Amino acid sequence: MKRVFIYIISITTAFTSLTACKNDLEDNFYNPEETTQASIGGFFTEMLDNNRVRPSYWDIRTFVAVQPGVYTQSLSFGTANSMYQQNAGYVQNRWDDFYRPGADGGGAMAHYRAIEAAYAALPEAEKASAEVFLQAAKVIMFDEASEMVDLWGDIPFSEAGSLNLSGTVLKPKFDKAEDVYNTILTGLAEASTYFASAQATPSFQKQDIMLSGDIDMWRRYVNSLRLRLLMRTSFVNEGTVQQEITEILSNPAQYPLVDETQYNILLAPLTNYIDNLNNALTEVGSFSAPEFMLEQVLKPANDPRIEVLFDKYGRTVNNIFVPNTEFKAMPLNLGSEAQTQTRENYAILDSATFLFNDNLPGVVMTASEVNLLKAEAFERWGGGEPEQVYGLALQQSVEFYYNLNNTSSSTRPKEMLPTAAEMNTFLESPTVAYTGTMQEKLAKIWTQKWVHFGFLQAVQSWSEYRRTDYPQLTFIPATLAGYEAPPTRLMYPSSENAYNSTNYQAVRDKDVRTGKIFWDVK
Amino acid sequence: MGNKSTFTLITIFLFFCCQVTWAQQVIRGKVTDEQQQPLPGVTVLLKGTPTGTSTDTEGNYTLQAPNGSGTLVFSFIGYITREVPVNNQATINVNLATDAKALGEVVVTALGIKREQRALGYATSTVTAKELTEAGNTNFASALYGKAAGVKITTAPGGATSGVNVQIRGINSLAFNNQPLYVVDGVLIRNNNETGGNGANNGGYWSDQRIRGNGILDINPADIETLTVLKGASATALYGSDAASGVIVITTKKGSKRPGLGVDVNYTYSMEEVAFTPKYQNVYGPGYDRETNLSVGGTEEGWIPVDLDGDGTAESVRPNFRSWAQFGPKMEGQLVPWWDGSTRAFSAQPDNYKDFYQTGYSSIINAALSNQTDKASYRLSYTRNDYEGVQRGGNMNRNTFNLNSTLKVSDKLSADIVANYVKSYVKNRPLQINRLTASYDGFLGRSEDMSVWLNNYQTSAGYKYVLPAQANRNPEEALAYNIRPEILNFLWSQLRNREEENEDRLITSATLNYEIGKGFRLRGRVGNDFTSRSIEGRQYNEYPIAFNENNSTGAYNTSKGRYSTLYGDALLSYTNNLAQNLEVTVNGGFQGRKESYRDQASGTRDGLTTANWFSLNNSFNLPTTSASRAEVTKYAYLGTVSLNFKDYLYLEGTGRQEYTSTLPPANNNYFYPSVNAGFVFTDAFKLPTFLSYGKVRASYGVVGNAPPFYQANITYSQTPLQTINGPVPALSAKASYGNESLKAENKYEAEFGLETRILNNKIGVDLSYYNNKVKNQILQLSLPTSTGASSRISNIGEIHSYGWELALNATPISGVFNWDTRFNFALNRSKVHSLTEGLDELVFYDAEQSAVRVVARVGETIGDIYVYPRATDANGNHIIGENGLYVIDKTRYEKAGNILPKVVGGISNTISFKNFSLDFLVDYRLGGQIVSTPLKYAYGAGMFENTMQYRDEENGGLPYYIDVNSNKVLLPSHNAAAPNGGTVYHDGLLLDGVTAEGDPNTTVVDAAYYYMNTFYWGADSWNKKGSVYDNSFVKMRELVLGYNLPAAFAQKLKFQNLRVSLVGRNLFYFWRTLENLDPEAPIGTQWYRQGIDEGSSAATRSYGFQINASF
Repeated sequence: MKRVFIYIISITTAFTSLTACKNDLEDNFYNPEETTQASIGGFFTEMLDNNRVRPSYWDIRTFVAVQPGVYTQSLSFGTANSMYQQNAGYVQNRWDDFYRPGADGGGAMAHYRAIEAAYAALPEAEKASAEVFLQAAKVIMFDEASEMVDLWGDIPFSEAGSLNLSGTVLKPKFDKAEDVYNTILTGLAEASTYFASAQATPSFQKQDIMLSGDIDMWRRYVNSLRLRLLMRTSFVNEGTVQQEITEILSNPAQYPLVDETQYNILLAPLTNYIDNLNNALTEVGSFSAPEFMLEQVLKPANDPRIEVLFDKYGRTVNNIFVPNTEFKAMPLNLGSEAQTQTRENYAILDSATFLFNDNLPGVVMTASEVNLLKAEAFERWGGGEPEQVYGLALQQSVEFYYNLNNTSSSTRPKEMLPTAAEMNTFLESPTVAYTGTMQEKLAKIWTQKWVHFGFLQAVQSWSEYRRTDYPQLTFIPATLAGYEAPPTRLMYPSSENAYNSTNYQAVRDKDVRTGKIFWDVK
Repeated sequence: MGNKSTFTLITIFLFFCCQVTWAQQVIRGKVTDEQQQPLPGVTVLLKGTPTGTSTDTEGNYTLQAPNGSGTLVFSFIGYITREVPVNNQATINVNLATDAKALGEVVVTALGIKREQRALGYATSTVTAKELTEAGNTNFASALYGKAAGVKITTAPGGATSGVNVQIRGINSLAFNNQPLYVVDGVLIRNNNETGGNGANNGGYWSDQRIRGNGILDINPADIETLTVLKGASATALYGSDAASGVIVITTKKGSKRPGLGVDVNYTYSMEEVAFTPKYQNVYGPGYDRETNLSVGGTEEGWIPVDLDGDGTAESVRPNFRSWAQFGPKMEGQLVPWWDGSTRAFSAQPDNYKDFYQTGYSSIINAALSNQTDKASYRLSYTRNDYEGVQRGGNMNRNTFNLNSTLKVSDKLSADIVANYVKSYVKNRPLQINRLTASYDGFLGRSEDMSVWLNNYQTSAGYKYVLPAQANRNPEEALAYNIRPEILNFLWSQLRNREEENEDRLITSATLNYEIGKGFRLRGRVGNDFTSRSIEGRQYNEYPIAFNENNSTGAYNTSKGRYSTLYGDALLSYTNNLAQNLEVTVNGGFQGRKESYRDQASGTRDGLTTANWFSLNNSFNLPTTSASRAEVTKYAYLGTVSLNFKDYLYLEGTGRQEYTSTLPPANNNYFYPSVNAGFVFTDAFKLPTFLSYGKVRASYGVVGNAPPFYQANITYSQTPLQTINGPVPALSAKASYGNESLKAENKYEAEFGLETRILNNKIGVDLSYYNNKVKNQILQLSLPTSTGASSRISNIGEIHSYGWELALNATPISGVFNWDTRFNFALNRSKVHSLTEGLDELVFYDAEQSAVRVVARVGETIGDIYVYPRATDANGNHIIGENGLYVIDKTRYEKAGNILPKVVGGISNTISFKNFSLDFLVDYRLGGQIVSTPLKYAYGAGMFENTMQYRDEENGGLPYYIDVNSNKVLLPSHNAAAPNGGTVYHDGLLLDGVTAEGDPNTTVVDAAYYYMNTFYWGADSWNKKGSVYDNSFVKMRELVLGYNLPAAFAQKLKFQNLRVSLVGRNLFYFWRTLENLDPEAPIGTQWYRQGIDEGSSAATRSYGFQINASF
């Protein structure tokens, strides 16, 4: 009896557990916290949610403040023997954030490929309504890819992102920088045509966390981006560029641009974001006002932006804050020990505008930049009034920075926008006024663009600085052997050398810090 | 055989002890062992009759024998049976000798199947309870050093809370699972599966800074009866996909073998201190080369002018506290303003690295109660371990309860019930010191006194130290000058902040043994390994909330984990004699388990609103929260057939059909066969008598490795974003791409062995050779991110390994003075045989901008180190750049070594004389290199004694002056004068080599410039000299001097046995090649991490005493 009882129990247990096991086996292969369903809209939002575009702690602290911010002097920096040496780990990060998902950067390439794959898998009937995502995603990817080229030169591009496109590993070749630019420029021209007649869908309006599906804004963005990149290559390929830019500028109905402040393309922070840049900038001692900008450019012109770009700073004596009497920048050649000892004597970045502002947007494209591009085009090739758009650009830049100051989340006092009279005085000051030879005028356009970009668009600023060689900055030599001066491009991250070595061999000779990007010919 | 005789003995014993005896002559006596200790429970039988008894707890017996004639038979498990004729004696005292043959005769093999040692066709190593506990180790794994051939142990620095890696037979998998499977009382236990495939401490500088432990630390060594290491594929084939890296089978102590209550108490106390510290130079203080000193605003020598009274002119000087390099002024006791605002003597602090740590201790008390009755036997044990390591701010305590009981339900049915409950508490696990060794904001400057750091990491109000730049936060206590802050940060984290872990772990197993009929048995088992873990972190506010802008400081976070493994197996076995002299045993069964992992974590965001109130409700921003789940299902059908011919020829075959959920559904089941044979040729043939025992064995088997859960699936993760358009879901692909055609990796291994005992068992030899292939290696293949992911789990190729293992034991001297020695030696070579197409090498570690790599190349030994070499011209001369330094050739790699040792092993000795015994264990690692970038940074910073070279005249520096063009011009002698009364410097050096044009190098450089630039971070430095070092050592691992108190004395104190011993662990190196780093510094669970140092924690030495008492 007992024996039978035991048999029954064991057999029942064995069978129930076996059937249970069989079902679990396949279910348990997939992570219940994740999904296997691709979503074009979800990928698109992920691409836009980019803390490399928004001024975030990580990007400013590890990338901008130690690389392009230094090379353009749009930020001050601590003197050290390694001050011009790129930080390999951080630069690797910046590279990765374009190509792969995760972390800060949105993984533009990976998710664009994922969108391409998901789009191709859609039934034909659904493709039409999804195309707007594909086109918009392509523009975002192109915008970021152009920055990759500006930083490194040749990059993996046409074959990049194979895993997300086809699920296979294809070690991508490095495409020539010119070729990448050509692909981007052609693609942007196509996108411009597409958006001219595109319709937003409710889903696109929801998932587009940058422009809320505003097709007119997308048109302006695409055309302005094309203008920026065409101008970047204008010293290499002046004939074609001149022709294409003239076509854009002469047909505003077909090619609307971001030429009014209301059209600025900004990426708003997430609504629950409350961080700010104070730590990012103070940790590396980059919050003092950069000397050349304040002393050589802004002060001589009595620039109204000084009030919103910088604080005078000062010392606390007996628990009372005693501000400095004037805006004065810390000399670039001060030794690192003296920098820390005397920092309180010098102006710092504006605390309301930059340091304690959790409303700072990511700056994608501004009217001021576009009008400065126009000014350069008109100056070089005619077709418009350079002085008029130059003045407009400065006006827009002043408005832009006052707006950042006035919308700051900081409780510190805000500055009043200068009056029209004050603006005119500024525009007429000799170092700003649109006078002189063509070279002098271009120098003013480029210097003002450098001021306008500041550190918020440090990557663009570094590109334009290398393209135009303006403003004429001087750098104190560093004492680290081989790193005496700033580089003219970034070195490739070691992961490409390590894991994509065959293709890396083809660009190894170009992988030097003194290499020049193809548009850098001056 | 052993089984049967034991069984018979017990049956006889049980049967006869209750018999009514008839009045005859009474014989009394006492049975003792070789050490003259009483032996309780010995069976005493009158030969040829049913008359018998057994000895009591004091070893005494009384027996009625007819007519004072006949022969008494004394038998006891593990001792040689003795027969003594009565010959009318009234008192017969007997001394029993241990039976070397019998000890360890029965081995617990896969699935708890007990087999005779002699029947096995593969190698096993068994480690006894004594070896595990005698040196006072807090876990069994670190007690295994050098004790089993082919088993390499690496203990992460940091003490009892740090993980221990066990590596059996070299590298079996390039990816995750290189740790053996642990089976405790038949149940597969969790080691570190809860972290998925990532393991712990593999990320280096950028990952988790705490030195983590692993699951085996919870298994209490004092409760272990035996530990068997199953090494090869045939030995472990019954465990299939879990067993590629070997299996460690642990059996905990059972109830006493004898009736009556037994009580054992053991206590160990040991001190732990920092040992084997780097050899620092103690002459020069902080400062850079002259040019850099000037550029930071100091003097050539490195002093920084100080304006003490604020009148604008400097009247004093101070050291450059920010300087990471130590090429500044000589430390001669000058009184200078210090960074904390005081005035201090500028003198060397030779012991500051040691003072950075403290003296730790470990106290382990264990009490065990055991008993046996007719129906049941049990052992109940309690262990308490209190521990404080050498790192400040941390401690641990652990309570372990173990119950092991056997119930005899009926003659046919018995049940074993084992329960282990472990409750542990850890506060502030040791932090890796890489912020101190691998950051230029770290480094313990040679003039820094530890007490100053300790006094300044927090303010009097308990806030974080205040840097000069933030002086407004606390003008009175702000530091006077800038410093390199990482040491203060470290102290703040460890001494002010708290991370507390509470873990409860319950490991249970219930086994039912049922004898169905003759030769038919059924065994069923269920087990559970359950862990509940909670971690709470408290970070104090760093400055008063009055200074908060958009966020605050401080943090509170809490996380909970619940991990459970439910295990079950059933085994039906049948034994019968198929023919005369041929015994057959067949086993068939089922094994399955479900693992479940739940993690949940919440924390404050952007700081605490009210200072130092630790609650989620005090979060400055909305608190963050996350949760994750994982489920794993694995099961298998298995069977074995074993044949025994005449007790000298054995053959066994096994098979396992396995199913696992971590593999893609298309590939989720595998068959693992194995076969092995053992042949005891000394029993089969007549051989010379000096050969006491000889056996040859051969085996072949297949085991596997499945990937960790959820690594192969292709999925997307969704995040809800709060945007200008309201909440919007974003969907992200994964940086580690999945692979739904992944297959299990399989290891095919053949093994041959020879076991002999010669000269009357005085010398024993066990030699094994194995050769294996691991096909379809699974690896998170690192990819260039330009493919769209940073890695993808893949089957990447095949590695081949072979190895030799030798274990020798000998008793050179026996008798009152007894000397046993055991030596083992293991050699393993692993090569990459092939990789998938398009792949010719795997890069495991890539550091210093790719200048240093650990790789596996096709056709070469795995673990080779490659570096960028110094550039040479066509004639092999080193090229010297215009700056006078070596030019590094970044276009090619040069092999600089291999991280794997050539040979590992140990020698242990037991010497006993009367009541004294001395046990010592020496273990060794020979060959191979280590990669240590922190050593390079410290070398470049002038921290070490060996950087004194070239700094001055006494240390070989060349004399020179600097001419008007800033060129350094050599002078003929140190006494020569420079033109125009210029300064003569004595720290020059001229590197041997040629310029780019081929002329001999004439550019003189100063020592500081040479060190700082040649051994700086990155690829422009001479990494072969700076970052790659030979790593061999011979270490005195354990030393135990024990004394057994005389039985008479012990018994007076009511002890049955009392032993005191002095114990020491990691006492010293007989020899080592690394002078500024402990050879065992590496941490991390990945195989290659064992050859890489990125700054872990100091090595330690411990010594103390142990008391063992039984009542």
